[in-house]
Amino acid sequence: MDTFIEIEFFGKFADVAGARSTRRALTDSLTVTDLIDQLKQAEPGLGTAIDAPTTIILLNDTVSDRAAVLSKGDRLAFLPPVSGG
Amino acid sequence: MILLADQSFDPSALLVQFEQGAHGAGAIASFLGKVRARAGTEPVTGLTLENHPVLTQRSVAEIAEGARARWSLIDLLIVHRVGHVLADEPIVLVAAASIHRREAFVAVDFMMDHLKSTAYFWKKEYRSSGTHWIEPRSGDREDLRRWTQQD
Repeated sequence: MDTFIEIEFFGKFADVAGARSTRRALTDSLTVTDLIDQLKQAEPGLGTAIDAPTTIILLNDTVSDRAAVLSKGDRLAFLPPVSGG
Repeated sequence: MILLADQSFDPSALLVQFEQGAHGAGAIASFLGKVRARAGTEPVTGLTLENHPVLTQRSVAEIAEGARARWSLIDLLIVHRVGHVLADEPIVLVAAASIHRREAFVAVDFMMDHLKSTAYFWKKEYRSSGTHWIEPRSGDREDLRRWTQQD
């Protein structure tokens, strides 16, 4: 049975994704960067949006960098910069 | 007290409660923010405030801790709406109680600048032309810089 990574989208990213969450199969040594690349292939609009340098990436509710290696049961979230206004 | 409210709140009632609990205070300053009914010339019917289930509460708590670390406050209050808020409704209420007025004034200013720029909220505005995500403004970052330049 495949193991999946749960991915959540916040703010405008959820609108671009058309969903608040999705999941992707976990493969060996999969990094956040690898996952963004997968999303860019599958959904270019979403992948490009979340690949912005201002995106906040959370791994299990903690700010993460893109080199982080994902593990079974991890929750990944992509957050745009906060609104201000 | 810190409260993320998913329903309308009564700022007057909350301020009375805050004032009655702030024993020993010689000064209470407060700020009430409301949803603007216009974006430029365009009518706005409301805002949806999206939050993160863990980070939003944590970021607001850090702002409160930052104010307490800088000034000698007797108490503070942050109430922030989440969910859908209609135009003209309160969106944020901040108050600080201290012995003398200057600390209360400046603590409220500090908390508001940080709530705008470092708290995890995303705002979608409902205009007559459609919905519009509010992006960070350079003015918000400049407001925030005032506090780091003082260090």
